Amino acid sequence: MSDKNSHPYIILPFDFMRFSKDNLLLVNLVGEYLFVSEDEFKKLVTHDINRKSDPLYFILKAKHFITERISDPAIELLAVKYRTKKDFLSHFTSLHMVEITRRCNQKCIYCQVSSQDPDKSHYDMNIETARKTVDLIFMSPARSIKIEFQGGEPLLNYDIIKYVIEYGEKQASIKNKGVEFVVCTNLTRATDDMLKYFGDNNVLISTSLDGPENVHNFARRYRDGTGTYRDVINSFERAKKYVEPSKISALMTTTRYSLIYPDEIINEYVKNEFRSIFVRPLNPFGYSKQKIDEIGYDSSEFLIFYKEILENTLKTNLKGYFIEESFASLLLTRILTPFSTGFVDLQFPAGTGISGVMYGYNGNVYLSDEARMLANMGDYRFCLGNVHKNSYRDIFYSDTIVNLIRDSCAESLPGCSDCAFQMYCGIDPVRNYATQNDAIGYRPTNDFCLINKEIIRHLFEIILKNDLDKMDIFWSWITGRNLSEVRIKA
Amino acid sequence: MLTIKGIPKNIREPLLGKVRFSEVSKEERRKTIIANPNISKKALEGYVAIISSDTEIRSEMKDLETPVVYGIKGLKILSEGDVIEIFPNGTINVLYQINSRHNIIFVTSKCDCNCIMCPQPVDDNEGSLTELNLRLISLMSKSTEELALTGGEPTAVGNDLFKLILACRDLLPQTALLLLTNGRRFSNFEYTHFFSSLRHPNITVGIPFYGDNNIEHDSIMGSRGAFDGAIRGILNLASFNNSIEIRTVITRQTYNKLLRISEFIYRNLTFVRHVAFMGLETIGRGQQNLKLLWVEPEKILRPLEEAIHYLVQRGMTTSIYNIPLCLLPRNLWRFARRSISEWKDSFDLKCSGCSVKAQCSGVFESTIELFRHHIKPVL
Repeated sequence: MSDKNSHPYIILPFDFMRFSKDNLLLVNLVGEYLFVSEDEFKKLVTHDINRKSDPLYFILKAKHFITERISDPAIELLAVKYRTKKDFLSHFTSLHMVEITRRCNQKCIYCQVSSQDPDKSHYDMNIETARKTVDLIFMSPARSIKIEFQGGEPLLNYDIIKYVIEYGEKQASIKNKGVEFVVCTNLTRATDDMLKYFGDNNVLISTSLDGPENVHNFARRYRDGTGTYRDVINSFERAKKYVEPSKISALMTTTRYSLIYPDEIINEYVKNEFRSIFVRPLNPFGYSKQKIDEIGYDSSEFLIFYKEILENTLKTNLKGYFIEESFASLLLTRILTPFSTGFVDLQFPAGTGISGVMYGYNGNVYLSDEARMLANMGDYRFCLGNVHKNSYRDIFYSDTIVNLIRDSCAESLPGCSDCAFQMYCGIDPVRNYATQNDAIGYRPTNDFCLINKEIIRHLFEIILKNDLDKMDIFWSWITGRNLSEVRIKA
Repeated sequence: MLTIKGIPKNIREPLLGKVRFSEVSKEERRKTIIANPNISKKALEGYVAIISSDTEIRSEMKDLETPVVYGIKGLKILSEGDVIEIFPNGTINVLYQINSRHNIIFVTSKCDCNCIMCPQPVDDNEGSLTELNLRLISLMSKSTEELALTGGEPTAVGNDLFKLILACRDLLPQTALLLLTNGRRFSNFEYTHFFSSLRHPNITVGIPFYGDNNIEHDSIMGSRGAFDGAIRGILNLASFNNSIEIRTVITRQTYNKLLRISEFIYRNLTFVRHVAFMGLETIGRGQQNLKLLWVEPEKILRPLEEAIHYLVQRGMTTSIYNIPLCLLPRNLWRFARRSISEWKDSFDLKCSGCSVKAQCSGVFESTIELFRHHIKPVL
């Protein structure tokens, strides 16, 4: 490309797809989008849009699909926007998941972590491993660190949680970093003392609520098979006394049984005063055929359910109750704003290791949660080392990370490189390996790809219709404000 | 600028001073212009000048060497603490009003643009105003809340602008500054670096935006390269974390592009602190080009509402300047600011019964005729 182009304008990089019978969707390399007709598209790519007579010319120019000169500040603006979108890369690993114990008092039907009996205390992280783990965490160049307590059920090893928080705070102040703690707990063993401690220390609580009693208890059970619903709700009620409501969130894992309860599930969340619901499909890897028959479903069935639950969530907001569907909110932030999101599953290159990393109870360091599961099954290829044996350099500059990240750039991945949704999506190479036996993976049969693509497409359909109420709700989610604050109605 | 006039005596050169109505110490007199003094002859010595509404010069002033302007009508518009400039012909310019929230420092008449709605004639041969402005700053009250540095194009004076900002920083540490510039000069990284290193604690750079592309913006700014320069300037300013405000005057050329301009700002310049949409002031070129610029106020409402909603959805701060409340739908009232300088502000006779007059911007005195058919009191 040069300024002395014989064409009246230069076409800047973008991806495109046929969106509907009448529309093509164009997305440029910083995620700005535009719907055009087929005729307009043909004119665009044949340099036939007339500046004087066609208003589309200036729209394409302002959205940086075309420019007259390569010396135009459009290129500088694109550079700024590209840096902003890829901002997560400049921080390096900020999310550090710590398996406080592998023991669990529950045995949920979809659990892939081979959880251990509550009395087998040698599956707990010990104080020496915890200290070394925290030391390693604070070697990360990230300016703000998030430590997530996972399990098993981390509250079964509560003393180590407290130790990590106290030692972590100390390290953060020595290294002048921000630190945030999240405890991922089923809440059933949460005592008032624990809840008070979390409230006093600004610890976020991430729990699981799959829906009303029948739906929740279908999946989430104690080891003796009885449901956990009542105890979860009881703990949740007590938690509200000590912890700000905005600091408690819940994941909703979808089983076959959930599919028929999209209304009831949202109502359950509203009843319990949650302000967000994160609807997650099952992670299908590692299940037996029999298990899949019992709890699984096709991605197409999940998508129907997801759209229903999204629609219900929107209606609930319109009635005046703020509740966001967190996955949609993440995608919308990526589509509608110039900003980057810090969600490890939705980024190119992959977030494994460079954005998030997992520390096992015994000090093993894994690329991700799934890498830990693979190791449990005897495949240690995504284990990066051990906090007792290896240095930060050994672990985070290992060939395992470097090769995997190199192979996870959307621009060069089959099925991603020409996908119009590339800028909004992400990749999980460990999951690809686990489900498709190949870190690069094969998109046409990849559930992760099918589900993400269809949800993004569905959100674009809503955006294209430009229903004012729905758009206002989307913005209230993106900006975390009440509906009335994003509106200008008197 | 507010101007009054009287009969001059002993005035050989322009004089600058702070208005006082009662006697001050000998030390202070060098900076003070005393108004309507009712004191003995001896106590009148040492002032910069004496101004008076008396139609005849008082006997005790007759053989005084101190400059005097007498026979001034409208002297009562002055307040204790205002700063005025007196000319040999008896004209008095009010450069600073202590009770106004709209004080300016007129940095220069020079400009490298030629906007089709510019209220201020460009004068590229004008001498430097910097010395005068530095004295003016030294006479202003420390309690001044806001001060705009304007022109012309303030950056046209180059490093002199920095002298003014430094004086404000040191002498008026509580005062918020608003630098009104086309932004082009800041495309020079070194200039922006110098500007940013002054470390004024509270300065916002206000930059006009008349389109989401160079062709439309440049044609309104009357200068090729205005858009590219402003973009690069804004990026440089942002790289030093400066506070930036974008200002769009609503004209026939821009009114139906407000949403597009907002989209461009949000996607590209998300970091700006504030976006202002401004009613047109019809003096200077704004008057000459009126036919080209004028759009019926009713027509702008829908596009304005869309643009404001777009920015509010995204959590950006936005305001409407210079449009009276009665022309705006009620849902936009909370964005309307009382933005017009008191001396330019005007209300129609009809406005006297209006229930929201106290919150209203009014209209520019120059524009009142055009608005007469549109405004109506809110009851």
